[in-house]
Amino acid sequence: MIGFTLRRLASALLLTVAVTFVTFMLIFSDGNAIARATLGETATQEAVDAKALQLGLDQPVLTQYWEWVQGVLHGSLGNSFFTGEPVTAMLLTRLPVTLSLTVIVVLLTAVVSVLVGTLAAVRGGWLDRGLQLLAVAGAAVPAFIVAIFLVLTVAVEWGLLPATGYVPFSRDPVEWVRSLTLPVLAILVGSIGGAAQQFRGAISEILQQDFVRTLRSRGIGEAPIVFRHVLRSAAAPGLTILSLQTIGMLGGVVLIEQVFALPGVGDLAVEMTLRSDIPVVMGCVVFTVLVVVVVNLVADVVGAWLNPKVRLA
Amino acid sequence: MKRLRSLRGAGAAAVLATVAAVALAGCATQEPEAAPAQGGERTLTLGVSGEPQSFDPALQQSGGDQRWRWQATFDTLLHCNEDGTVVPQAAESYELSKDAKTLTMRLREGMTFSDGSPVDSAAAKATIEHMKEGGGSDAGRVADVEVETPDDLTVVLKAPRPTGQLPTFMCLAPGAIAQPEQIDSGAVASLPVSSGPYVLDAAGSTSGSVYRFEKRDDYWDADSYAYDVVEFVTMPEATARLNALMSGEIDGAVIDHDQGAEARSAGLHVLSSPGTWTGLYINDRAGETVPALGDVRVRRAMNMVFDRTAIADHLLSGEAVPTAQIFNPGAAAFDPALDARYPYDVAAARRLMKEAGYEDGFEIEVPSESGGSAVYNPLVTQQLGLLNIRVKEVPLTGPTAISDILGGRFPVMYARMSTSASSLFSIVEALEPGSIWNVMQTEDPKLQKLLDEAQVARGEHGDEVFREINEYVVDQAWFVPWIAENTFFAVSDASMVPEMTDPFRFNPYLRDFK
Repeated sequence: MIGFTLRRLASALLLTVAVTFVTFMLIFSDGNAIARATLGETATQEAVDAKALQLGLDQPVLTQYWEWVQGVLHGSLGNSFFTGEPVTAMLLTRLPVTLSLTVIVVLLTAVVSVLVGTLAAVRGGWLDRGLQLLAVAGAAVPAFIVAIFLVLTVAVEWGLLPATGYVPFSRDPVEWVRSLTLPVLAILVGSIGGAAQQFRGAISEILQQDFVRTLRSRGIGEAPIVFRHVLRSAAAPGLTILSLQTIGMLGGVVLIEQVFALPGVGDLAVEMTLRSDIPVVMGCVVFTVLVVVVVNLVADVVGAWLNPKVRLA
Repeated sequence: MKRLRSLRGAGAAAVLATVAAVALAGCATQEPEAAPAQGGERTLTLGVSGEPQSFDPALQQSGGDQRWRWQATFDTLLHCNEDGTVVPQAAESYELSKDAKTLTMRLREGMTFSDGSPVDSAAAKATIEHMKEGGGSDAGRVADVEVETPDDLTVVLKAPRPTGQLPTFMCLAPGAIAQPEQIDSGAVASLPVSSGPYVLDAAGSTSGSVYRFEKRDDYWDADSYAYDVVEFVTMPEATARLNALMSGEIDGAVIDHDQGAEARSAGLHVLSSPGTWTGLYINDRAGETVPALGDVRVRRAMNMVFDRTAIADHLLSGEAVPTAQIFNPGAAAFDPALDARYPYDVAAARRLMKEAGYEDGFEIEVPSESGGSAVYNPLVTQQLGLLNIRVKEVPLTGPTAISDILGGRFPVMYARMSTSASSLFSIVEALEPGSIWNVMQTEDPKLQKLLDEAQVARGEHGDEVFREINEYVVDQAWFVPWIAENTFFAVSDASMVPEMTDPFRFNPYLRDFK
C-alpha cells in the first residue's frame, strides 16, 4: 500500500511539473505583450520596455520559469503585476469560496448518487427509469442555465435566498449556508444524475457476477450482500466517476461563480486572464493542477484501500 | 460487526470531510470585520463590473464604473458637469489662457487628507508628475504638461501647444490628488490616504469582493454626499448585477443594453441615453494602402449601404438612434440635420462607386474580433459586398492584437466608441493627427485649421467651430457611423438618481445619489 501510494505521488509530481512548465511557456512567451497589457493600449513603447524590465519579462522564458519554481518551493507564487499583492494571499482569500462550493457538491453528490444508484440497480422499475431520465436531463442542461433559473425564481421572484454574494462561515453560519444553497443546487442537478447513473451501472454489473450468486446461495440477505460486498467492488469505478466529476466541476464552478458573483478562484482566474495578470493566472493554474492531482491521488488510494485487487493492477 | 465498522468508518470520513470544508470556509485570511451598524447610518451599495488594479492614481482610468472607487478616495482639481462644462472642485477657481497653453487653478484653503495633512499645490503637482511617469492609460493626457506651484494654493499647468482640453483632463484621473509621501513609498496603491469624500475601510473590505468606504466629515464638501457608507461589490457578470439589483442586494449598477426591458419590468429605474457611437472607422481615408478609400465618393458610398434604422431597431432592439455622426447627441458639435446626409440607398451608392471608377470594387481587411465586431462583421461583409467591396476577416493574435489595431494595419475596422458631452474631447480622441484613434495619423490641412481653432475657441464661437468640424468630417465621410447606442444604468429607485449626471453617460457621480 505504501509503495502504491509513493508511486502515485511520484506521477502526481511529474504531472504538476509538466502542466506548469507548458502553461508557463505558453503564457510568458511574449513579455512585451504582457507589459503592454499591464500598462494599457496608450502606453508608449519606452514605458512598455521599462515595465518589461521591471517585471523581469525581458529574461529568457526558461530563466523566468526556473525563478518561478524556486519561488514556489519557498512558498511564494509571485506578486500581482498590477497590485503587487502576493498571489498566495490572493488565492487564500478566494480558496474558501471555491473549496466550500466544490467540497459540498462532491460530498452531496457522493452520498446521494450512491444511495440512488444502489436503489435503482437493486429495485429497478420506476426508480431506475427516473434515474436514467435525470442523468440525461442533467447532462443536457448546463449548470449555468439551472443557476439562472434558480436565481430568477428562488431569489428574485420569491426572495427566499440571496441572488449573489458569499458570506464566510465564521461571520454567519446560517448566511453561509444560504449564500451557497443556490450555487450548490445549480451544480448538483447535473452531477448527481451522471454519477448515480454510473454507480447504478457498476452495481448492476457486479450483481450479475458469480460470487454474488454464491453469496445468495449461502442464504445471505440482499442488504448485507450489497453493503458489504457489492459496494466495495463498485468502489473503484465509482471513485473514478466522482474524481472525474470533481475535476470537471472546476470548469463549471467558474461560470457559477460569475453568475452568483462569488469571489472564488474561478472568478479570479477569469478576471486576471482578461487583465493579463500572469502571476495570478499561474497561481490559479497551480491551484487547478493541485486539485486534479489530489483528487486523483485520493481516488486511487481510497480505491486501492477498498479493493486490494486495484493495487496489483 | 464488520459492516457496522465499515459504516462507521464511512460516516466518520464524511463527517471529517464536512468539518474540513467548514473549516476551510471559515479560514479566510483576509476576513472583513463588518463595521458595527450605527443608528441612522445610510449605506449605498453599488455593483461594479471589474476589479480595479490598485489605488495608485497613475493607474486609474477615467471611464467606466471602476472610477467610483478612486473618485471616492481622491478629490479632483476640477469637476465636469453632465453637459461637459467644467466647474471648480478642489480648485475653487481656474483660468485657461487665451492661447489654451496655460491653466491656472487656485485651491481652496483648509483642505486636508484623511490623516490631517494638507491638500495643497505640492500634492497636486506630485500626483500629476506621478501620473506622467506611472505608465497608466491616462498618462498621455498630461505627458507633455509642466506643473508649477508658485505658492501653496496655486497650481499652474503649462502645455507646449494649445490644449483646450486641459480643464477637462483635471476632472478625470490626471486631476486626482494623492498624498506625496504615499506616492513615494508606494503605500498609495493599497491603503491610500484620502483627499476625497470617503476613506477606505480596509477592515471592512475584501480584495476582489467588496470595498467599503466611510464618509469623511472633514471633507470640504461633505454635505453634498448623502450616504455615510458606500460599498462597491465586484460583479463582472452583467447577469449577476441585474439579479442583485432585482433582489435588492445592491442599489445601482451598469447593465447591458439587452437588460433594459427586464430591469424596467422588475420595477428598477433605468437611466438610458446615448453614450457611444457604433459603426466603421475608415482609417485609410488618405488612401495609403487602399487607394479607393482615398476617394470621398467611395467613402460616401460606404455610408449609404447601411440601413441605420434597421440596425437600431433590430440589432439593438430600439435601444439606439440612427446617426451619421461620431458626436454625442448632447454635444455642441452635434447637428440633427447631418443624420440625413447619407440615406440608405444602394443604387445611389453604386452610382458613386461607378463615378469614382471602382464599380468592380476592391478588397479590404478587417479584424475578425475587435471589441464586439464578431456580431457586426457579417453585416459589414454583406452590405459592403453590395458595392463589390470584398471584406477579408483577419484573425487577431493575442500578443499583437492591440498594436495591429492601433498601428494602422487595418484600413477599415468596426468601432464602438464612447462619446462625451464635451465636443472637444471627441475631437481630440478621434481626429487630431496624434490622437490614439487616428491610427494612420491622417492630416487634412482644411480640417487642421478648424482643429487648431477648436483648441482656443470659447463659448458660442467654440460651438460653431465644433459644428463646422462635424459637418466637414461627415461630408468627407471619415467614418461610417450607424447608431448612437444607449448606455444603461439601473437603480433601485428613481428618487436615488433621477437623471444621468456623467458627461460620458456611463455611471452617475457618487454625490448625485440621494
